[in-house]
Amino acid sequence: MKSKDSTIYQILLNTIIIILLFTLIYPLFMAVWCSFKSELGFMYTRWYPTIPLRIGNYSTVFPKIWRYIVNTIFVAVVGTTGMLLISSASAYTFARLKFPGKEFIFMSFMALMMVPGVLTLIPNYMLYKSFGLLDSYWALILPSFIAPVGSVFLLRSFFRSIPEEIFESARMDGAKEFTVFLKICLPLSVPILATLCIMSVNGTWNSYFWPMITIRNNDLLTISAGLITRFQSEYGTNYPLSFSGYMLASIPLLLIFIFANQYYIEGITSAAIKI
Amino acid sequence: MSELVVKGKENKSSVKKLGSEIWKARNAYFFLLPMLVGVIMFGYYPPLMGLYRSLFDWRLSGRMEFVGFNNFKNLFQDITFLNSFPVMLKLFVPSLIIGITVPFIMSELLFAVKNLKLKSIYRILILLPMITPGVVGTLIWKYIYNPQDGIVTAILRLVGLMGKEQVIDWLHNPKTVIPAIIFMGFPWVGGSSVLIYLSGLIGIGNEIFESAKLDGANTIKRIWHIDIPSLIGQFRYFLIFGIIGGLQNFGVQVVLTHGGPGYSTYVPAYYMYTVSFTGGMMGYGCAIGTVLFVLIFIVSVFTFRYLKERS
Repeated sequence: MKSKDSTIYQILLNTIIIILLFTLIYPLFMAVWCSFKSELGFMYTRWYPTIPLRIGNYSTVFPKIWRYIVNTIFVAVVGTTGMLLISSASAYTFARLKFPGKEFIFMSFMALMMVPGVLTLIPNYMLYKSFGLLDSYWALILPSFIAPVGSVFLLRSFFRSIPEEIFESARMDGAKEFTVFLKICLPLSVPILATLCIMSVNGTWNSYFWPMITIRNNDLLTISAGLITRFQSEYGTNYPLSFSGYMLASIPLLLIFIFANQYYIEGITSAAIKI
Repeated sequence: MSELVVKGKENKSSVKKLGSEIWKARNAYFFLLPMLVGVIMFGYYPPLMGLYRSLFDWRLSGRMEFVGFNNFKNLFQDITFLNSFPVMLKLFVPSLIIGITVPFIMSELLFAVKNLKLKSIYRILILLPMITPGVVGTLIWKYIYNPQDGIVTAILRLVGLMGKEQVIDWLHNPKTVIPAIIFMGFPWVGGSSVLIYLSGLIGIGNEIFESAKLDGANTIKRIWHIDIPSLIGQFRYFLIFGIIGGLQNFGVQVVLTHGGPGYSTYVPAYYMYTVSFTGGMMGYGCAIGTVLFVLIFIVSVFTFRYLKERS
């Protein structure tokens, strides 16, 4: 009797979840199939997928979008590499080396997480302006070097969890501190580096506000900013074409999601657990 | 750092010792250098400048004149600014409540699922909306609200809540725009917060649930007495970051409404943006930033205090 009850309960539960998830995902799927429709097809059959697929939509929007995607990849690669090097070097120092002022400097880094963006936006913009960095890749890359102070915190905890003997024996063999960091510490930390890497790439992909205000030159815009400024004003009224643009913009994230699923999930969930 | 060391002349030997310690640890400082330079230049300089420049008539062109507290005086007589606070509250409070509770309910639903295969499929589906850039998610909602043939209009016509020819421009009608923004993202069960709650629930451990069962606790009792207290850390995280993020968020305004129709979706942070980047009044913008900073600081300190007392 009891097991029958719980079967009904499970069926009910799964039905509720499926309805919720369907409601959540339906708009996204609709965007996917509408991106393959003609304008006329969209008018009459937008609620469900139809054939033939109009691949042509994609070749229409590709020339408008590819530049944004290439820019975003460039900014993400350079920005993320720099961020990982800089923050892992300082996290290593905090985790493994002794020096006067350590706690103070660490706390002063962490305190930055408390500074809200509204306070820094204008001075930051004027700072980039006075250095003549507006309208250049620097305006897009530099923020990702410094912004994630939190990554220093995550890296430090990870570096601390590596047994000290591993480092000690390397130092005994006469390895310089920099070699220990580069050849021993970093290779052991691939999981956390991958997680942070995905967090950072995801951040670059999603950021639109800063690129929107600092970049005027269409050839330098990144994807999210490009979509809401130029692309929207050009194709905003043609839904199938806008949807194909949006889908094209999502492909790189989709690839990351497929090939680095585990790191991706860790990347977006680890922030809350650690704090 | 080293200047401070030189100052303390009374205690020469300990100064020397500290000096040699610093010299010995020069490697460490060298490792820190890039981050340190970045933190000072792009981390500390801008917020301090923001506070300081709020006392200036500072223009985008670079013109600058000290005006004392004039910016703040003007600000508290500025109708657009004052009106933006109620708008912020109307948008922020419901979104915060939804953002904390709905993902929790969803995680409880998922936690109760026995079939492991289904469970892992659900987890992936929950993340699926995150693989499009956030902007795309918002733009898809723009279509959902399309007055002629968007999903919302179609559904309301289907169930008879709207006449066949009736047209409501959800995002351009001052009466509907705020509910429409809050409703965006419905049913709000996607994204990382569900998974964060879920991993918290899994972390509680089976023994505790078993013993609760033996004590005769039903599901509701278990959720109230075990699950919620165990997830207090997650709730606290979402609350604090929800407040900090919510008070300065103006993404929807930038992407969809541009503060409109009229001024009906102007929030303080969006006003700051338009004043400084469209109007060119950087000093006035810094004053708005300063007011928001103080507000965020006070609210988050109070929340911290309150949560500490409760737990």
